[in-house]
Amino acid sequence: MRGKGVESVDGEEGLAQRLRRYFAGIDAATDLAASRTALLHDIATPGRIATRPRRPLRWVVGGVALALVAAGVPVLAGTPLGQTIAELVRAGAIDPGMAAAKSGRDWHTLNLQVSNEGYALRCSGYYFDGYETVLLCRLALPASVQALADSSTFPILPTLTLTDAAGSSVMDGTTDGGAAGATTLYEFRGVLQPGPVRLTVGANLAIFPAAPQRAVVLHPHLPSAEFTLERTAPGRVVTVDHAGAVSVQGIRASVVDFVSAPDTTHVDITLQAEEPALRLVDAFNLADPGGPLHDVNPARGSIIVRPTGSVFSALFDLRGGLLADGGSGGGPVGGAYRFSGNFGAAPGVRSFQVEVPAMYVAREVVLPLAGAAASISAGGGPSGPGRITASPVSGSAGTALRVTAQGTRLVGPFALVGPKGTVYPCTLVTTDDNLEGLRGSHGRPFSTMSLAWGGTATLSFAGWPSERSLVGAKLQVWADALVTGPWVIPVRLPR
Amino acid sequence: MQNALRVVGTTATFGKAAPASGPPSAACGAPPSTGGTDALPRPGDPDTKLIRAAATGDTAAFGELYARNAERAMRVSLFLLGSRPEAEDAVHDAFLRAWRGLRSFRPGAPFYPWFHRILRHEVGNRLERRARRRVLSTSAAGPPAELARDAELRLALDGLDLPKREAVLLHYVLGYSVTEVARMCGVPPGTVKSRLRLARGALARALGDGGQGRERE
Repeated sequence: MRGKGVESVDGEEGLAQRLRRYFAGIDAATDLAASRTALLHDIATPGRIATRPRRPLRWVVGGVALALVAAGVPVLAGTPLGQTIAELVRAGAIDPGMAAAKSGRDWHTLNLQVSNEGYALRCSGYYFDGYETVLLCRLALPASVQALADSSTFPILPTLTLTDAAGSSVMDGTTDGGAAGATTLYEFRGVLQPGPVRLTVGANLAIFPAAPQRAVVLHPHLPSAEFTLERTAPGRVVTVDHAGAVSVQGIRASVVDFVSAPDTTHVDITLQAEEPALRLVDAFNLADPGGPLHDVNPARGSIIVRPTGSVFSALFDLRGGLLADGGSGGGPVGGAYRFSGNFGAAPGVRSFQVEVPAMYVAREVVLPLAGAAASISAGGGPSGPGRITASPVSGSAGTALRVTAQGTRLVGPFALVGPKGTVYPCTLVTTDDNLEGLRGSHGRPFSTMSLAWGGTATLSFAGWPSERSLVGAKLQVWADALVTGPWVIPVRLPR
Repeated sequence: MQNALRVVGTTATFGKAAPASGPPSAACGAPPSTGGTDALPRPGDPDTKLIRAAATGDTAAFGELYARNAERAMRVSLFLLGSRPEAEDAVHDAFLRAWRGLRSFRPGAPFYPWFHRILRHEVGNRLERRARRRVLSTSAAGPPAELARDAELRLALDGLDLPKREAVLLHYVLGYSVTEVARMCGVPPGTVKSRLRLARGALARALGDGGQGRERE
C-alpha cells in the first residue's frame, strides 16, 4: 500500500528494511541470570547506586585511521580521528612515534629497554601534549603475574619514578591503570624539566586479584636507566578567581579555588554528599594527606582530577594519566572532603573532571531486634551483598549487643532506639577484631568507631535495663555500600 | 496494515514493522498502534501485572519484568550507543531507575514507552560523557562483531545525533507512529517528522545512495 503523496518510497523502504535487519542482527545476548541477580542485588541494597562491575570501554580498530596513518596523511591530534589514532597507539596497532609525528607533535624517540625477573619495560619515547610530558612505555609481565592480572577484576597499577640528575623526583609516573587484566601500553604523564633524567622502573606494581582488600603489591626491581629530556613547550598564563559547582550521583563537587600561572596550576575542590542520609566515607586516602593521588585504591576510593575541554585535545585520552602529583589536601571540611592539587603548568585550563573510581557511601540501616539474634542484609562490597547480625548478650557488665558485619562495614555514629522511642547512648565495650579508623576504646562513643569488612564488635548500651527489654528495639547503624565507578563529575570554571 | 506505507503529514514514512526482535513482551514490544494512536496495554498484559506487583515492592516481579524486557532494551541500547559495555551499563542503570520510579508509572500504561524515556536518559548521559572525553564514536563502538555486520550503516548511524538516531529507531525499526514517538521523546510530532526527514537525508548521504538506501550485503 502506498500512501498518497509518497515519494521515493521504494528507496526509503529499502533503508528501513536495512535498519530493521541491522537491529535484528544485533547480538543482544547477555548473561541474563547474572545481570538480573546484580540488578536485584542493587535494588535490595539501600544506598547502592550501582554495583555491577563496570567493564572498561572497549574500542575497535578504525580502518580509516589505520589507512590514513599508513599513508602518511597528517591528522590533527585534537580531532576525532586523532583520538582514534590515540586509541590505536594504546593498542599497539600503531607505533607511538609515528602517530605522534603524524599528529604534529614533537616526538622524542627513546628506544629504552630494561628487563629483570621476567618483567620487561620498553619506553619508545615522549612528547609534550600541550600540557604535560607524556612518556610512552610498554610493560610486559611474567607469565605468572600476567595470569594473575588476567584474573583480576581491578586494573593493574604500575608506577614509575623519574628523578633528575640530583636525585629528586621530577615526576610521579603513573598510568591510567589499564584495563582489567592484560594491558600492553602505559602512559606516564607528568611535568618533566629538561635535562638528565633517571628512569627507575617498577617501583610499585599493585595487582588486585579478586578483592581490593587482598591486593598484591609486587616489586619487580627492574634496573634503572638514564636519558636526557629535551626541552618541551612552555605553558601560558590563565587565572580564574572564582568557581562553579556541579552535582553527580548525589555528590556535589565545588571548586573552592583555582589559580593557574605559567609554572603551576592549583585547583581546590570539595566533594560533599547532598543527602543527609548519604555520607562519603574514605573518599580518598585521608591517612596519607599530601600523598600521591595516583595511589588509586579501589578498596578505599580515590579521586582523580583531570582536565577536559578542547584546550587539552592533544591528550591521548582522558581515561589515563593523572595530572602530575596532585595530592589530597587534608581531611573532611565541613562534612565534605576536600581535594587540593597542584598540576604544574596548564595552559588555558578551564574545566576539570573529578573522577571517582570507587567510593563508599553509607546509609542508615534500621535493624529490628526481637530479643534474639536479628539479621538483615545491608550495604555490600566487592565480594557481594553484606549482612549485619546482632545478638543480645547478657553478662556481668550488663546487656550488650554483639554486632557482626559480613561483607560490609559499619561506621558510627550508632544509636539504639527503644520500643518507646527512647534513644540510648551506645558505647563500645569490647572490640573483637577488625576495627579500623580511630579504633574506639572502652567507653568511647561509637561515633569514633568503624567496623571493618567482616569484623565483629560488641556494643553495650548505657541504661539498658535487661535483655528482655530489647524486644522491638532498633539499632541504627551506617552500612557501607561500595559504589563502583567511575563517575565523572565535570567541573567547569567560569570564563 | 502493519507493513503498509503510510503518510504522516507530508512526510512519507516507512512501513511500520512489528518489533524486530526481542521477547514477546506486550509492553516493551507492544504492537505499535496505527497512525497516531496511543499504544494501549492489552487486557491481561503480563507486564501490567508485573508492574503492579513490582510497584508494591515485589522484587521478584520486577526481576521477571527485567527478564522479559532486558534483551530488547539491550538491543535498543546497542543500536543507540554502539558500544556493548556502555549499553549494558545503560540498561542496568535504566532498570535501576525504573524500579525507583515505579511510583510515577501511570497504571495501565504500556511499560516500554515509559521505560524508554529512562533508558534514553541513560543513553544520553553516556553519549555526553563520551563527547566530553572526546572519544570518537567509532572508537568507542562495541566489539568488532557489531561493526563487521554492517559497518557502513553503523558508521552512518553514528553520524546522527541522539534525537535523530532515536527517532529512526523508534519509528522505522520499532514501528511506533510519529505521534507515539513524539510522546515518548517529549517533543511535538512536527519535531519528530523533522528529525526523521533530516535523519533520512543524512543516512542517504552517508550511505552514498542518494536516498535510496540500498542494502549492501
